[in-house]
Amino acid sequence: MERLTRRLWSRGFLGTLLLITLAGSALSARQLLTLKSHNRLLSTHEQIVITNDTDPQLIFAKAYEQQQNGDPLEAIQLYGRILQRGDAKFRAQVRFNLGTLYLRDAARIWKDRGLLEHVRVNTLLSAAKDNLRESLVLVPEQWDARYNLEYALRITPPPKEKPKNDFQGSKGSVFATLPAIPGGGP
Amino acid sequence: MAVIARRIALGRLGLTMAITAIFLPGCSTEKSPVSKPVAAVNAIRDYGYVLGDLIPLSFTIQLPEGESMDGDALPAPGPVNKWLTLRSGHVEMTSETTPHTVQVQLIYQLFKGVREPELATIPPLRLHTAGRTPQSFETPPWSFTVTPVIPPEVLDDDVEVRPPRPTEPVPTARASARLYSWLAGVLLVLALLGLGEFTRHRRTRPFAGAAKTLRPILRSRQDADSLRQAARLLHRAFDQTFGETLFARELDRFCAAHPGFAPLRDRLNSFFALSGALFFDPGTTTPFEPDTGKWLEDLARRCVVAERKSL
Repeated sequence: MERLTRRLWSRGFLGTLLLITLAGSALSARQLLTLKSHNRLLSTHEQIVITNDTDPQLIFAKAYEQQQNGDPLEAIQLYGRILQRGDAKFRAQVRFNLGTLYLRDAARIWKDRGLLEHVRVNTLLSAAKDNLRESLVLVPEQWDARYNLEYALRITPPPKEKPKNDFQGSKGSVFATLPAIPGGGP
Repeated sequence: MAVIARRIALGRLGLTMAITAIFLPGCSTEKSPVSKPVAAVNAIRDYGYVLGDLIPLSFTIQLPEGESMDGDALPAPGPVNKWLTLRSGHVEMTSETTPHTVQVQLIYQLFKGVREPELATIPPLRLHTAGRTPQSFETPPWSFTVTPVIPPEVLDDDVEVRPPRPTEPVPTARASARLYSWLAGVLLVLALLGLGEFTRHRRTRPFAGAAKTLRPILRSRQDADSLRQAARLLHRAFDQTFGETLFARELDRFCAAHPGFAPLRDRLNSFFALSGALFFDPGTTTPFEPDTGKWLEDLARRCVVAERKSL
């Protein structure tokens, strides 16, 4: 016991302990500084430079900025880079923003042009629904995502009906359908 | 008369047997084995679900004798239809006492958007047993009410899409707490090192210890014995400091090795002379001068100061 106490009090042991705690402190300080500089960048989006190594949070911030400043294509491209990155909460957030981006576009076109843009609206809504649904799968408790998804489902146009093919007779040639030529053409 | 009484008794017996035959099976605690699996549905509630909700549903399934069910019997998680997804499912035994009963626990997620409360039905689930004669069976369909998230009276054109979420700053509290913990660790280790060094110094300052011990001795008595005791303590301190036994003839070497003691050279000579008289002069029975004790105490104090300077 006495030997153990002496060993614990020895310069070597305490010195090693000091080195470990100093290393831990240095590492923690570095992490804290990284987080702080990260947060500083988050508040000044324009300074974020996107590279392959950029943190997903920063890409998200940049994408959000593009989304708000009316560059949806750039935002979609940036969101697309981080769809599979980060934890479930982060991915749910990315999906929600992406789905909302598609939904806003679809809603705008739907309000302005209605059924004239059926295909375009449907395509956008389909993308919106997929992303919002995925967001809810990741984190079910998101009420904004539920709200937007319900809205997307509400404004989804009904599928176009195929024209009924109720022609019964047999027409050998195009002239057979021409009016005023009894019995068809030559 | 006897014939009538016998008939009445027979009639009563028959009635009793009939009643027993009707009610006895119902009194048995053990359920009789079934020939086909029977599934009963259990749900927390069947109303008030909205889009995105998780719907936990369980089925109590009574199996025929010799049959069992495990997780392989369940379908893989995934979409069931356009508005329903099976998130997870597992089979568990209810208890040891009812070996033919299992619980199938399922969690569905609802993606049905409605404009007003609507009845929806979870379709039957096809399951199969494992055993000698595997059987396929279906769970009963289960209906529940779905209510809208957006109020029904709000027109589509008036619905405001919920805005996208900005990035939340990464919380730094945890990282700060971690840093403070490490720094506290550093301070603690430094304090321990300081304390260790302090005690080590205390241990390597023989005169400090000697002065502390001899003070009460000399203050209580001033006779030859107490003086001898005090001188012994000082000798021990000199020996410890010198690293070997210090004699009067080696005082020069001692002062060269410990320059802090050089100014005390004369006093050290006197001390060794006094010590010689105390220990080796058999005629020294007469009491010493009354301030000898004080002089020794003063020498010890000066040695402590010299020792501190030498460190």
